[in-house]
Amino acid sequence: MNRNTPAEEDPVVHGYLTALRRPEPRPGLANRVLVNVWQPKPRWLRRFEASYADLVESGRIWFVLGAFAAGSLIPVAASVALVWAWGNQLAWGADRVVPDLWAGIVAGWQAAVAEVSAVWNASIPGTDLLMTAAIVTVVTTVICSVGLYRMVRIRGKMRS
Amino acid sequence: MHQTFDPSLASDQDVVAWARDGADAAYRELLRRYERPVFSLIYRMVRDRELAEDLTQDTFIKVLNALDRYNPDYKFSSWVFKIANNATIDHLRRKELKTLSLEGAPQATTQDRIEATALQLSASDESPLEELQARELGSQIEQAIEALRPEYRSCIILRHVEGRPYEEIADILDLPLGTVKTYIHRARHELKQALAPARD
Repeated sequence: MNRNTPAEEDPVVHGYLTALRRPEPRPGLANRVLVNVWQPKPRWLRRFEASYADLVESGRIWFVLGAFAAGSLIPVAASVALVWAWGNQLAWGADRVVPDLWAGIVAGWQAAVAEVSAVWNASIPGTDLLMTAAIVTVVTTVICSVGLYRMVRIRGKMRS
Repeated sequence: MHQTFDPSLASDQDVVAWARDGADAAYRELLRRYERPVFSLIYRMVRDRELAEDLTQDTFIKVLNALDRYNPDYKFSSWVFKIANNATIDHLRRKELKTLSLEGAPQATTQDRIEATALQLSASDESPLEELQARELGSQIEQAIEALRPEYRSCIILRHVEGRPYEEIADILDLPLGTVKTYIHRARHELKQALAPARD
């Protein structure tokens, strides 16, 4: 097979054609083209949309929301219950066993609560952090309940 | 595993795959690689800058909107040139173009257009006479190319300006390999004949 370069095949014609200045398009061709090109969404976004659509279609979105709400609430509720029931005993024991660590935890916790409260009051004045937390807790509990109810109902329909 | 992707080092196939995933940078990389060769091919075929810009733009819009239909087993460059060539040949068949000369053509009314049709023969230390001669030669070459049949023109430009192998030209133009060789042979012969007075 002929593997000569174009210049080797016909140097005269090659000389003519390569002597011509290579024209360039005006700047901005890419932008003018891309305005008219449909570009697919990034893969991660397509996957997220597909998963979300599947969740909504199957009704599992309520279950996921409920599970998420429950997952958020359970540690908080457990901590509150623990402190409410045995707070004094825990504090006493911790102060005896690991006094430095306990003092650090208490100080850090108080500083965090003060900081969050300050930011909250500065951002949304006229509202109470504890009251808002209570409302959010109630709302998420309702979402959780509705989600679980719907899930059970869908499962029941599928069985029947 | 997350991999960093440098489009300038990647193969055409990899960049196309990346573009199919929706990466804007991949689209821009494909344009960066091929906008000049495609524009150059189309411009040499139609010899009208604005028309060449429009056809180049149409070509890339077709190419990038049809990336899902591109078969990676084939060369991406062949596919792009094929679409560009088809668009240009279709246009030439629909409309007979007016002759464009280097210095005083009807369309060459601006400095931009005159420069686009100029030769790169001229060096900075050339005398005005040598520059004029270079311009005249450039004009004769342009006219000789224009006098070729569009099929000959595509073949000869792809071979000598773009440096494409015969097999790829046959693939781009959907012609048998033997036909491509014949076209190139005839195009060379016609160019030499047309430019013989200039050589003397």
